[in-house]
Amino acid sequence: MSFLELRDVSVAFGAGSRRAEVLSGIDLAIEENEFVAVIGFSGSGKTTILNLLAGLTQPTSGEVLKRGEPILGPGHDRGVVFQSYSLLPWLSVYANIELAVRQVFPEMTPAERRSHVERYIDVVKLTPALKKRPSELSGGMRQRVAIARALAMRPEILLLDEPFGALDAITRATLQDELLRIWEEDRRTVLLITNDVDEAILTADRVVPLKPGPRATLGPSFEIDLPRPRDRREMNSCPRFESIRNEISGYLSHLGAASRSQDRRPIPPKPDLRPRVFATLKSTHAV
Amino acid sequence: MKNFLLKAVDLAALNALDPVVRLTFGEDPPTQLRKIARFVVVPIAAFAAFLGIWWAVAENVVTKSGKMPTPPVVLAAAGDMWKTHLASIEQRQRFYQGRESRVAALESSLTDLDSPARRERLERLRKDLAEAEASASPRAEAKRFALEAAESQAAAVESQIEAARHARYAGAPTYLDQIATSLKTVFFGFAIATLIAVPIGVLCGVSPTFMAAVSPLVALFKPVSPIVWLPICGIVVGAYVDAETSLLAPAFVSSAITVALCSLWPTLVNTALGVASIDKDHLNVARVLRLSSWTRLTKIIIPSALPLIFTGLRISLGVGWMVLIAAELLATNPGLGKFVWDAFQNGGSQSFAQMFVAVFTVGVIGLLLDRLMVILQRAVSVGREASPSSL
Repeated sequence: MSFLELRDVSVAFGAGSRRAEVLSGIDLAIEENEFVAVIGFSGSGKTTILNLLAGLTQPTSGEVLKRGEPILGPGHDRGVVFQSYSLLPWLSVYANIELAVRQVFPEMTPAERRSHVERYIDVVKLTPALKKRPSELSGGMRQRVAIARALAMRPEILLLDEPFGALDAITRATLQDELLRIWEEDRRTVLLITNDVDEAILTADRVVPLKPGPRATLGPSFEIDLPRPRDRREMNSCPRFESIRNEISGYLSHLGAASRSQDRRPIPPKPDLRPRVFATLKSTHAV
Repeated sequence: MKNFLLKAVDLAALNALDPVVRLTFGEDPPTQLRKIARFVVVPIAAFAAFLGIWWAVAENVVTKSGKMPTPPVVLAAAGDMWKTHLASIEQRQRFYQGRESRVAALESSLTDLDSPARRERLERLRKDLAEAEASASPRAEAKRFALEAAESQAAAVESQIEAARHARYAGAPTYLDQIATSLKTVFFGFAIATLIAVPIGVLCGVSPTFMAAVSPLVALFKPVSPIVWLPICGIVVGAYVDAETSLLAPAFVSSAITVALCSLWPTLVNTALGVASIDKDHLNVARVLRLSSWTRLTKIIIPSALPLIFTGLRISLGVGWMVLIAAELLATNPGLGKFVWDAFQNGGSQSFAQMFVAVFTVGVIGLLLDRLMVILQRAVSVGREASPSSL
């Protein structure tokens, strides 16, 4: 019995002609303290997998299990970092995290709670921005707050939904390193949803591709046997890293091509119209 | 200092002053001067042009109540109203000072009554009465009356003192009193509207079923004019609020309820919209944290809807103020509206100009109320990505 398990899970939204099957026949087992990355194209249903484990979505058929028990709803044992940060804009950094801590550890005294919150703000290196509101922070800092909020719940499982997707490349790299550092210090089960192959290989023990939807299913797992702790700079010159990346990228592009050729729905004819500005722009370019 | 001032200007929603502050600190004078020209000079020039047109038109409009007042006539009327107000305050003060001396005089006369001579006289009367009754004299009756009259003298003075102490100045309310009454009424009505509209709006936003139940009622009553509510309120309030015993005057209550009935809709609709359009991510946070319904309401839903709630409140207060003036005018409830009605009825030499003063007063107070709400709205929207526009 695995720690976390998706057994033949299908998810469909809507009914009748509007029924959209997002996931179909998903089987995934995650061991305790394993770092798993699910990689896939955008719109393929990655977030739905995360929502299933978070308890935010119930499967249409199949089972979602933790230690063999079905997951029926959200719980404090699972911390979630959403793609869009989901910080409460009217609360400061401190208050955003405190709201979670107060909810998860109601038995803490105010002093304990304070030091707990401050500790996790320190973990993501945001102590100087303690009293700032999310709107005063950069995207990277906001995502740090969201991570700190999830970590401060001290969950058994961390569910990360494209946490660095909206960040610029440099910030993303920094935050990936931070995430790795934090995880190395305090290992726990992590499910990372991503569309970045390098990010998946750098962080995860295992990378699972999600085939493009609709009716998306999981592809074969890729074990990442690179030694830990991993260092980004070493990875760049590591032949094993290169070969894994080529393998996964190759598989994904093969999937992409297959899905395009499978898609036999007639393409509606497009009107032969072009914005005038665009047309003139093009012609000047040609000149 | 500069940033502090800029922030204050922004919070006070006085954006026109922003370039003025920047210019005083020497920041990029050409740009600031251009901005001042646009946002300060142009509006002032437009207002001056408006005054000019008004003047030219007023000279040529002759009515039964005389010529239409020109700006200086209106200004003079405003000055006279101010003087009347000051005079009235003085008169009122004199009355209350006089009241104290009247009470003092009565109190001293009461002490005089308690003199040894009077006590002796009462004693003698009692003795006379006792003797007369003992001898069954026919004069016993007359003696009893004399004694009772003498005894009740003190009680009579006491009740006079009581009356004098609570005597109230009975002069007509001045223009500023009317303004104060109107403001009290509008805030009372606005408070009633808020207390009704916000909870119902939140319920509507939270529960689609409740929304379905309420929306036909909202759609039905929202377009009803204040003029229709007014007589109904007057009758109902008149049945339950007694002018003599009630703490609040019936006219005040019925005006306030009319204001409430007309102004609660914008708050209700905006609150419902604000709650219903809450960011789904925020609700997911509430679910992941497993917040109780109450915590979710107080920590997530209401804070998230606050900017829109305040947008609604701002519109409501504006509507309430307009409705109130009409209600006062039609129902001759005390306040600015009644002032206009009185001016219309008495047709004095300055009445026409006084109405113009009232128009500007209503406008300026409405503007100030709106600014107040904009400031509150901004204060609760701090940190939001897109704060509602402020016009």
